[in-house]
Amino acid sequence: MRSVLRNPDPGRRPSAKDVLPESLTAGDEQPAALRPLLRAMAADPRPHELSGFDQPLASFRAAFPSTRPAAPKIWRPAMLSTLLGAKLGATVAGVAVALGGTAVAAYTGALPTGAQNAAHTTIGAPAATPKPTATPKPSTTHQPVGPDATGPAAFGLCNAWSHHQGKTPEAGDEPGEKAGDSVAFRNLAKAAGGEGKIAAYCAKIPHPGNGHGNGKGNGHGHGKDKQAAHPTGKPTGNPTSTAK
Amino acid sequence: MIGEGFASELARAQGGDEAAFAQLWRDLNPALLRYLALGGEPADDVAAETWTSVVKGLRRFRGDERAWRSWVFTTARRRAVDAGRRRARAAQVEVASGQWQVEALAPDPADAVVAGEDTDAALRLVAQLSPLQAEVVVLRVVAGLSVEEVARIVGRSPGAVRVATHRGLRALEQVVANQGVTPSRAGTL
Repeated sequence: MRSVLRNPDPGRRPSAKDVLPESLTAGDEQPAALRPLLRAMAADPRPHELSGFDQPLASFRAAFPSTRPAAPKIWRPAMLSTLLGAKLGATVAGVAVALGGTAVAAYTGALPTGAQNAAHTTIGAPAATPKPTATPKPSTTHQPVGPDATGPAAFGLCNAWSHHQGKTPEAGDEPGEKAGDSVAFRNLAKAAGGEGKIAAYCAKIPHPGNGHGNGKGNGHGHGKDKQAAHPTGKPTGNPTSTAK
Repeated sequence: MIGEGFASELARAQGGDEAAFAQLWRDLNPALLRYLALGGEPADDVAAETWTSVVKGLRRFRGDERAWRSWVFTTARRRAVDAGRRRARAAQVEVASGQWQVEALAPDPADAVVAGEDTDAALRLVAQLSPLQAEVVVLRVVAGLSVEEVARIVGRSPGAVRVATHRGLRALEQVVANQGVTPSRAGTL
């Protein structure tokens, strides 16, 4: 503090022989002549000494942000994002409904991550038109139905399944996520007549809708393919060439 | 001094209660401003910087009210030194000569002190003591700190603080005593 004080030390010292009471706060022991001055120094607060709370309060609010009531500057963006989120959710739901009942499962995460992505690329809106009899086993519970593996969704499901087979187990999937857990996979396995027959079943699924004639003969053409022997390959990597 | 309720006020302030923090601020800010008025820097600015520092360390603070006051004044002293260094760098030459000019033209503070109990006049009078004397007197009288607490704040031994306090008060006593006879000498303290 010495360096910041306004006045230099005058150097003139009063005599130190006079003994003053140790306790300055005990008013009775102070020299009578000094009492008014000491009282004035420690007088009650003046208004201007209690008027500068804005800045300390701002500092306090910056240090303790979560405890004060939400200010408009804080909750407006939060509310906006909430509304935005609700609108986004409604949009997603609307799109899902528009795509049709059985396709919803694929769009709402009924498939494992890898299969879901593949299904997304292969199940287009036209291909995903569900059959009226989409539920082979009418469920009385609220279990997800999943796509009908015997209908138009079969190709997409097979595609997704083959992508999933090509992956190293547990490499990118969430822990505990297995193809066998998903409704779509169970549907596919059911349509094929067992999990072990999926490869053979999928080999008979024709590619939907490309330019060349896709008569029934195509399906027989690669029915004897060896996809079942090597399920880790990518049999549907270029479906048009295999179908030929 | 807040007294009995201090511990709960502090706990609430440390939990983010603005009203409790305001209570702590109201209790100490006047003494803080009077202490900082000893320095050449604008006391309001340094006080605000002090509270900013205090708030930053508020969660970690542990202690009773005496420790709290010591801590706040220790922080204030650091901020005042910082401000003094900043100003010294900003204007090295002109301030030194200008300051005395202003002081010499100011009215004699001793007049006001004896006539009434003008806090500012009393502080101006104290400010004319040597820097150490002025500081320890204000910390003892205004902040209500003990010799040991003041010694820690100013970085001197308790003995040195006692001596400086005694000498400062003796000097003030002489000024007040002589003020009626030769008021003009007060400024030469």
